[in-house]
Amino acid sequence: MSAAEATPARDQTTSSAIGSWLLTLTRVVLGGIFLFAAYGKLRNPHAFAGSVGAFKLLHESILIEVGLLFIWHEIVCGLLLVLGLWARAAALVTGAMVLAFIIAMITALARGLDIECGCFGNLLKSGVGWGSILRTSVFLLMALAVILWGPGRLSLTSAGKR
Amino acid sequence: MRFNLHIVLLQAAVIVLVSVAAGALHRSLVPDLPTVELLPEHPEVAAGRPPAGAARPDASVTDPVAAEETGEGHAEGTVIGIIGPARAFELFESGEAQFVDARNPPDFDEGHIPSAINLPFSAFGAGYPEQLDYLGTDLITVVYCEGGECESSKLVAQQLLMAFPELELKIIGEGYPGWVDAGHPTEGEGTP
Repeated sequence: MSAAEATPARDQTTSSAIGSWLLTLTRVVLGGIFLFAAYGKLRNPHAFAGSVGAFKLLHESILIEVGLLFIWHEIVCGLLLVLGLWARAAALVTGAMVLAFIIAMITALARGLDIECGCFGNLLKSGVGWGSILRTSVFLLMALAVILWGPGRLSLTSAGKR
Repeated sequence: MRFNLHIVLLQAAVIVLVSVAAGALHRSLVPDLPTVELLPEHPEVAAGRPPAGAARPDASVTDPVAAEETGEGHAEGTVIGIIGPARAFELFESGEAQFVDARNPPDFDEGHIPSAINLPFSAFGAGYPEQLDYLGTDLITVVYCEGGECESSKLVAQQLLMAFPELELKIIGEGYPGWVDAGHPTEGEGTP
């Protein structure tokens, strides 16, 4: 192989390595964010249930159950994403959850509701607005990246294949 | 970008099932919020003439007159009286009551009932808000928010009852706007 042929191949390998590490970063950050969000809500699930209720989309009697479902999805998906185990599936569930939340926020804005998003419990307070929709959309893109291109490096899935 | 979609979907289903199971188990460990019954205490409200801007009646609000006529159930859980600004002002002047402002801090800073404690619902997200240390459990606690359709008062009242089951609670149905419209005193940055 000549030097001219080897250079593009090396460039491709380098960019592929950078891409893998970017995916790793994306996956771990996304998982970390979800674990952080769950921790903020776990301290008082009823308070989070109240935040869910503020969207006025669900009946009052099921708010705590729905709230706990969200919290535990965040914990399980967050852990799997950080560990890189079943990362694509975890990102898929995360993406679905995030998409549902974006739709809920848009409908809240459309109905003129001035409410807290409750995204991180009491740890990071922010109201529902275009800022929170944009932030959540970034999480959706991060989840999509993991679904499409996989967990990147340092994942338990790839470790298991060796 | 090559991956087996069937396996990913199967794994996603397992993740959902595990999360649902964990959530259900957790639910069995979390105590229920105290059940509260909102009963209009103000004569005008009880007579079926809610003041303008009063909280929208919902399924948990019982009209005591109608309930007596139909023989329908007694109040379940803790009764919280919905009062108007006039009754709230009576309590304010008597010194028998403390006021809890359930609105967000910026609204509270703009103006609130004098000496009210700002305790928005979101403050309970951390578990035990430090504002609870300033509550006197021997006083009537009057909670208010934005009035109209605001549910913050009820949510805060439920959280207060979790912390202090014996607390005597009342809610200003018309909220802070009703208090201001009635010309009662306020304090805060927006107060002249």
